[in-house]
Amino acid sequence: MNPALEIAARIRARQVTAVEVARQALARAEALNPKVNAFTALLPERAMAEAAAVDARIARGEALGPLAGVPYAMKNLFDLAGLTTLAGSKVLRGTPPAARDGFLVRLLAEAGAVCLGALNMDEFAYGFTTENSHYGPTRNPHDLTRIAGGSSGGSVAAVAAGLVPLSLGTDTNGSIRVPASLNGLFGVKPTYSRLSRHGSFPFVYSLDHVGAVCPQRGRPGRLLRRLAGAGCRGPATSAARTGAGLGRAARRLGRAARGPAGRLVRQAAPDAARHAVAAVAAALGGAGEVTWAMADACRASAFTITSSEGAALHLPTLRTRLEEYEPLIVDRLLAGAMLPAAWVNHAQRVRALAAAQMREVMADWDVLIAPATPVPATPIGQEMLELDGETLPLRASMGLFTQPVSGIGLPVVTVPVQRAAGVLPIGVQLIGKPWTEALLFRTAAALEAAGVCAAPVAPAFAAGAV
Amino acid sequence: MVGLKLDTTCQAKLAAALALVVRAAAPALAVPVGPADEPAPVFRP
Repeated sequence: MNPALEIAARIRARQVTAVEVARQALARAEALNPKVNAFTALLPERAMAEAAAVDARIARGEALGPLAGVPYAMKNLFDLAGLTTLAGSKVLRGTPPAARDGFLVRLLAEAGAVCLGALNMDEFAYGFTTENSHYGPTRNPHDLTRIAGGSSGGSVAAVAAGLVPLSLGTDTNGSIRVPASLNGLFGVKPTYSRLSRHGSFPFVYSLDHVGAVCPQRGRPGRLLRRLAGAGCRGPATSAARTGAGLGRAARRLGRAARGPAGRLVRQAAPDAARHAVAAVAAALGGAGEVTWAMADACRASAFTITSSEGAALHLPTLRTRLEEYEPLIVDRLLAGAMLPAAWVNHAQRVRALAAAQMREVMADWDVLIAPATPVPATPIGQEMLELDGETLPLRASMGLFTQPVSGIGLPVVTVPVQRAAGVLPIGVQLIGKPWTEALLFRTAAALEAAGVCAAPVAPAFAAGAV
Repeated sequence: MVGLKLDTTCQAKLAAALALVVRAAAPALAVPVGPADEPAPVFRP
């Protein structure tokens, strides 16, 4: 059973109290977090109060939410009442604490979940490595000398190290899928606008998605139904479609094909990524191979839009507090501020063309299979990546395969293939049509049942995992 | 420069970052678009 649901079941059966679970989880996080640097803030008072409330409901014989007593944590760009929302930055340290929880945090609380704290990330979500200069790098639990990936690095490392069985993150260009790949977990990036962004610090309005990181037997459909279920907030939330495709449909597996290829997958993916894709494709009977000719153009569009929108968001602050920004992103933000508006408009039009072309590509297929990252986790501090004989900047290139897909808002579940390169895992993207998350979850479950994919806690952290 | 005064070292780093963005944007800018091709500022699947 999924660790989160197992905890909830044990609490419901009165085999353990929610307070005891929270106490153990906090103790484990305090003891092990220094190794991985996943948390930027632990919230023991909040956690114990929420856990005590669950136990009180049990004592009164009241109904419990499905996540009653389950510890979780949030990327530190989500508002948590009483805590300053940092979004990985130094600039926001002086802002007042959040007056209330963000919308999804409130839904998790209504479900009975217990918030342990806030998690590390790349500053303002602009990165794929979580090598945060202000709060230190988050380390990969499979190899502490390597990156956890980003920007939701803390969200993923906390689950991979068994500190929490559930976390939420965000994904603009791959920020859930990249770290999920590098840490060997299931990562869910729903259809664009599926989940509310209310109460989260933005990065790129056109591309920001909220999603989740799940461990073994994640049953993410149940979680997503809960989070998308009611009263969504925000202009970029599709209220009419929040529940569609998350139900008990999708009893069959989809027709799967390798792709979307283009130059990106055909030439650039090294052995570990290619072998992982081949293993997943073989298990799913992936009969075909498709080409999305506009994959490169769509990635370029997403890159351009990200540069410009990210810069526009921060330019007023950059003008007065430049030196407080993360050195790894400040040049990219400034460069984005100098892009011609005509380029950004052109990129938005190309993105629409790319989406239309992908609809044609997917007409005959339900699931497309592609690498999540070009390589497994790289050493912390590595600057460049060799791909297909080309030397590329690593921090921009980890999203090579994720960026085109989020660029047109398609739902993706990243499934983990363990020991793809030594002890290191790597992820494979299952890409669906809009609003078909349930089919992707079922496909991921089939891969897990077949033994092709698994998402255990990293071996060095397995003992006593939450 | 976008309302900022940058020393020469910062200007050189910015130029390198801008060169990277320009290179990355090229495949999108190479796609021809016609008057009927509307932008997708907020994507609706």
